[in-house]
Amino acid sequence: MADETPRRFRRLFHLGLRRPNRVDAEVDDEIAFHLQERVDALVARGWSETDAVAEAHRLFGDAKTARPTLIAEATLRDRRLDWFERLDSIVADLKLAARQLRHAPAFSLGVILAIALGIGANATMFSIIDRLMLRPPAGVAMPERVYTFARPGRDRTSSAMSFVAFSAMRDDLAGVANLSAESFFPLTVDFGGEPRSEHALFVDSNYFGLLGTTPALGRYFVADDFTAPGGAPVAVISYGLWQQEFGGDRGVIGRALNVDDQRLLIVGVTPRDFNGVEPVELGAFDIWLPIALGSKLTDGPANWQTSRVRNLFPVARVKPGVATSLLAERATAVQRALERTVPNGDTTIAFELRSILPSRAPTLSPTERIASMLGAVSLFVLVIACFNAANLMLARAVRREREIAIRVALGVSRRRLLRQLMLDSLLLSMLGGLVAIAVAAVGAFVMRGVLLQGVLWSGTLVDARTLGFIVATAFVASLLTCAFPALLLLRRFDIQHALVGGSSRQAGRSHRTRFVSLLVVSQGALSAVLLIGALLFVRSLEKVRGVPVGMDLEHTTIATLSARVTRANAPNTDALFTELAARASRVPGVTSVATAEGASFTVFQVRQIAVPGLSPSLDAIQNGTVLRAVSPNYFETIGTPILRGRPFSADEDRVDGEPLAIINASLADMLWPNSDAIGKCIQVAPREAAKAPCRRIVGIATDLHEQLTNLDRRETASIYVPLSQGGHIATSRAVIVRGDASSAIVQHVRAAALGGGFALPIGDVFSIESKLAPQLRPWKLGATMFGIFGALAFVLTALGTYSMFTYNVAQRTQEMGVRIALGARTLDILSLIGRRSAALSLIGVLVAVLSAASFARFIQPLLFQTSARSWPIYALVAVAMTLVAIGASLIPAWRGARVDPLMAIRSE
Amino acid sequence: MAKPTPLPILRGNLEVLVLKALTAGPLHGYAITDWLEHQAHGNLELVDSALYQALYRLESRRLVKPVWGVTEKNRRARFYHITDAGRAELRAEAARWTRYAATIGDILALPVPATGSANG
Repeated sequence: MADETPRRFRRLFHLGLRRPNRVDAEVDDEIAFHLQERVDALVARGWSETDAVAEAHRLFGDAKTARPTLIAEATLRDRRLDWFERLDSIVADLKLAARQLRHAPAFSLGVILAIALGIGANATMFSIIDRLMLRPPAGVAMPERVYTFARPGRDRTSSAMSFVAFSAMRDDLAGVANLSAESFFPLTVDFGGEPRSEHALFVDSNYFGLLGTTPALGRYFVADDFTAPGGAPVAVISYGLWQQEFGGDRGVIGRALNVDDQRLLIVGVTPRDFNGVEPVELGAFDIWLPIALGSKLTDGPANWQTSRVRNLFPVARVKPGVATSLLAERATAVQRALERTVPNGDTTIAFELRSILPSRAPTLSPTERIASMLGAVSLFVLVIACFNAANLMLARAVRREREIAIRVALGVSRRRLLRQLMLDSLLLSMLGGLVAIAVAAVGAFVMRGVLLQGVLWSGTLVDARTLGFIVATAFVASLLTCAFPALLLLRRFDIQHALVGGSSRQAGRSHRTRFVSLLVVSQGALSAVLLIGALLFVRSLEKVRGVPVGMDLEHTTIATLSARVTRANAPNTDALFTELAARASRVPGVTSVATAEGASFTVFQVRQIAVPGLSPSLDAIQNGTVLRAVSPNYFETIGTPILRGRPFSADEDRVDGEPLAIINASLADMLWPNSDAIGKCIQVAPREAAKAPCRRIVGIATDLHEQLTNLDRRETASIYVPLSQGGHIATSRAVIVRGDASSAIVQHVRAAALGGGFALPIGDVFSIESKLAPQLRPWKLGATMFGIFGALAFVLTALGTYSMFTYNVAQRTQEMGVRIALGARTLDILSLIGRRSAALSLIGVLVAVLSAASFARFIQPLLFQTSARSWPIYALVAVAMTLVAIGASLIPAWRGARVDPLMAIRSE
Repeated sequence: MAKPTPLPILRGNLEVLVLKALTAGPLHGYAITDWLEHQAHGNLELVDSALYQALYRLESRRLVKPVWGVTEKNRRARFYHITDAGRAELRAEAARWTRYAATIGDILALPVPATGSANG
């Protein structure tokens, strides 16, 4: 009878524990027995039968409640015991899994490593995508209600407006939204150490209030800071700056910093990771200043509040219940009304709202697009890794077939077996997840420092969200790694064959072999696709690097004086620039120094042009030009080649000298397509160019490409004139330095400018290369990550192929023995196996090429001057993978060819 | 002399007594009742159903393990064995009880402090 068998055996045979109504019967049995014994004892002492029964019942307890209470108690007991047992069996399974792990270190390590790499790659991509595209700006309350403005189809810079326009908009929209404004400006900041260039945010009085942020230390700006004449000399710094420059010292409030020689007091610190409403890709902003300080510190208008210069960017918080479309309409209406009051106003101006949440941005930046693609790719890598792990698990399950068969024969349910398998793979996956944390940390470190330099990276290397992601992925990985072995094993499991063993396993074996082949072939195809992607990005990167910028990237540094000094245009400004140039030329390694007004990456002036004899409605003339006034050795210093003609000579650089000009090649082609521009003349002026003196063109310079990838944009026209004839605008003047390697020169020039007797009020000192680096970022990211993923997948596939063929050869030991006995040579065995692997890899390569070709259009927009269907790259990858696959299979084949035929035939 | 009224068993103590009863060897429910009645000399109020409740609770805590067996009279009965965990629990509880009883006893045995002046 079932209830006589001890619990333990019942568990093993999984014959089910007590069913509910058995509890009733058992309790009744026990009560009945007790009463019977009591009656017997009483009768033995002389009681009558009936009295004894009554007494026994009395002694037992209250008739009505005794039995139900006991039944309830017994039911509770059984439930608790069941629960304990389940826990026990899970613990036992886990212990078993751990033991097996220790006894097969190579296998365990292989699986854990594969899974760790897959999960780690995903975690790294997740942390990037999370920061770039998912996280709302830190420290902003209810960020879903905060918006910036932009004209349709353009970015935020198109919303620049004057203070007058902003005030009008703020007043008009008061009922539906709170408005504030900000402006950006590069300033030289000195904390008492070395001055450096920072981008400062000039903000309106209600900026911090609108964003709903509380300071980590000190206070934000108050109304008085804005009403004081010229603005109160106060500043708010970022948390990062506080930690970095002041070591987190709480006494930082009240300390001073110098901004362009102005002494400002620090009054507050923003919360950690707070970056206003700016996207993280733009980097960290470290200084907030009251907008009223703008006139003192920048070369903007003297009085911001009455000026009409468009240098403010509005920020809006929508009031609850207001539709964003309403706000956009009203904003547009206000601006149009203003434009009507201005001559040549743009009455078609329109504004739309842009959410500050990166997840709601209308378009993706190139870096974001590449990051998304890499995210998808990393999923592929995870799948490959899990396939590999599943392969290994399957192989192990096959090795333990007999043991499993015995357990099934003894009554272990399939469900229990499945659970053991799942716990097994869960343990491995969790360990893999643990290692993945380290992988993700390394990946994040590389990202932060190398590939995504300049992007604001908030938080630690591996933060809570990424950890959560790792755990979730580990779960998924465990499902993937145990799914296939589980399905295969349990569905087609034939106990008889497994117990008996031997060649009667043919049916199951071929099924398994087919499955493993499928696994390896798909791995190979995925890896090939990844490698193709990697090579495409590498080539794009090379092409981008090869774009003729028109300047010498590696050797050129540019230095400016602080805007405050140049704006004042004091009489000694010229002397300061001369001193700067002199000091720069004394720096060891510097070969040439020039001066220019309007060089690339500095403030430039736009001018109208006119050409006698050419219609003013020509596009080239309508577009205007950038004016660059340059010293005679400018072209050789900055590395812009003169294609035809000559640069200016030293004695031509005179205010009263003949008006000369050098124009860039595109402009020359547009104005004089059929003749040589040299010798012709061109008129340049801020207004009414046709009345200006006509400058004789003496040379044609190369086009400049400051935007590396915007090759289809009509090149900006540049006109070079001798420095003295340039209008003498100090704010756009800069010293160009050419030296050995720009990175070192930057430090030396800066040191020279600040040292040597008295410190020059420098503005910015930078290498041209550093300005272009952010443009290379997306391609560097793509090339590196695709390369890493591709290499990873490649290695995993090679390992997978190797293990598959090792297994395959081992299974065919007998067959090998027979063949060798019948006279097969080593070469024959090798070609036998080699043919198989070649066939498989060909299939894989075919699939890969077809997939790559059909997915080409998704990756094409991310490439540069490279076709996504580049056959040479496809061919290269195809050949490489096939060779590796064949090579990986030949190693076990070689071993198989060396067996002793007699032993092989006798073996099992 | 009149028999003193049996005292109710305080909560939790019944389980400890049951554990003690099983230390010598496995017993079925009635045998435990009989042993307790005998040892208590009528000083404890024993309700049979309460005892089985205690037994089931002990079983759910895995302090006792029941095994179906047969008595000398050839009746089927559930014999309860004490487990190792049960023995440990018994030791711990006994120590706790001894300490408690000793403390109460010590306090109650304190001499009455002498008052200032005698009555009368």
